[in-house]
Amino acid sequence: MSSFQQALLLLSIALHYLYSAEASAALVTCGSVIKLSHARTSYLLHSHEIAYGSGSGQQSVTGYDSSDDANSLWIIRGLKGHWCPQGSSIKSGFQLRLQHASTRKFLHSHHFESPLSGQQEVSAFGSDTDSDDMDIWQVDWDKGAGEWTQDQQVRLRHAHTGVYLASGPQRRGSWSIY
Amino acid sequence: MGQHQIIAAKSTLCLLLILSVSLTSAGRDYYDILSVPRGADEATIKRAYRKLAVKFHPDKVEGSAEEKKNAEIRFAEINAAYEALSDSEKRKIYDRHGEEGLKQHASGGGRGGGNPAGDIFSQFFGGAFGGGFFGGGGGEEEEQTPKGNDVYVELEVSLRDLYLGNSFKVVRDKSVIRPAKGKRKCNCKNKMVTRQVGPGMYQQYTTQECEDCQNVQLVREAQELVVTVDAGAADGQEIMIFEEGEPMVDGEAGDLKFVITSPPHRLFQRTGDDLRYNATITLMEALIGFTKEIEHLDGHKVALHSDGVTIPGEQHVIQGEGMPLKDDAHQHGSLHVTYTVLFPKKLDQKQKGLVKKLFETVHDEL
Repeated sequence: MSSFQQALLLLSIALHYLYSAEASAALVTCGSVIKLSHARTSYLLHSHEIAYGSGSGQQSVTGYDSSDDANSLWIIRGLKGHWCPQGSSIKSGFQLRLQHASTRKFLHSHHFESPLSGQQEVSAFGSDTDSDDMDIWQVDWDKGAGEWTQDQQVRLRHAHTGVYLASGPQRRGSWSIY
Repeated sequence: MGQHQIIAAKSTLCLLLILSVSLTSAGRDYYDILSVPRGADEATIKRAYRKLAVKFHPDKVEGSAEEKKNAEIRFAEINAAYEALSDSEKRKIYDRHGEEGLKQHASGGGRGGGNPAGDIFSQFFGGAFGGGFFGGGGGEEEEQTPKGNDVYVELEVSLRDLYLGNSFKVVRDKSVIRPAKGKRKCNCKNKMVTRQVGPGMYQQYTTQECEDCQNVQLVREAQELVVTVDAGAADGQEIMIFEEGEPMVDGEAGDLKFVITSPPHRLFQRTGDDLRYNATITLMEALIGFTKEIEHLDGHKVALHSDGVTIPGEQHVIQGEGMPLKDDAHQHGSLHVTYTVLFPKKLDQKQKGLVKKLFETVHDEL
């Protein structure tokens, strides 16, 4: 049993915010509760209890521009059945799940067409006890620290379908897979 | 966005009588309370109020406690009636829609800022006067300060940390409201406006009246918080840090709530204030007794002892070696030790012979 204090991270990962840099930025770890901001549009990954009208009919995932909503918070989890202790650092290539803090559903993708963008749909699916392989995402990056650090630019790749989570200036309110 | 309603207001006596009949079933009759006729002018109402207020004022009333109480109630009613009937706008609403109508009007005006989605609905229901119909309740009567979203965070705490208590450093990076350049609209209230569009024809609609405030923006600020978990804290317990959640413009920030989550421990299981432990002893120890030591969560040793036979699954209770009580960390629950007996895998012929001989002298009842 480790006896050192764990540093739990609550943060917004965003590059465009003006942020007074500290000597050592905090690590993003398993158990961290974060907001993900799209680097180019600055819209936050967001979900709420509203289902898509078409596509899969599952809970929708959108881009949200206001930074004061708890529905933009996601918890970093390890894979199902693999307990990732809170505070464990994350390296590029790490496979994880993102659990929506308020609705307990996991960030999910599958072979449905997004009602918003026409690309592969991103939804929120499952619960604390119900999660499948389509909830798995891989975080990776080219430049930056060895361990995932706050405000670092990262990509999220859907493990099963192999494509990346993205949004676009012309589709500010939506996230989908390219 | 306003709701428009054209009402043809007639002042014939029979229509007023119809209105008064429907009003008594929908709330108190203010005119009766003040003992004035329906069409009374402002001066009459004012005079009536003064007379009655003096008569039923709490300071002026003599008599028994019950009489005073009744007077108090009456006084409140008189004040409510005068407040409504002395204001020309409120009186019009009351005449048409009764007490219910005034409640709706009051709640519509009391709703300021708040979350955007909520505002659309409250505007819709607050301002819907179509056909003079008010559905159901009149909404909230008191003004509430809008509060930002609460943020819930699971805090993984080991059983050892729950046994001893511990503090955790947390980096909280949140959005805060800071002043910005310029002005913005704030404290918006729905105001009911009535204007005349022709002889005996009135138009009623709601508009928004706002004040000018300092403009604001959301800025990220990071700080380190310390969360303290007390010894004996329970799984699922919440530790709240006031107003560290999401911000709310013209309101108060939501709270940050840590929820204690304790992963299962390899050796100890917790049930409330007690702990359960599974100890393994050899067959020999089970038959002739033993003295053993186990290590507790904080490393201190607990002695396990038996002088005689211990059967498989037997439970011993050791007082004071459980979890600390939430209300008194100096007191502890109990430790329940369950014994698993380890049997030898195999015995050779010689050993079997010895065992047989031994058990000839051991008499068991079946």
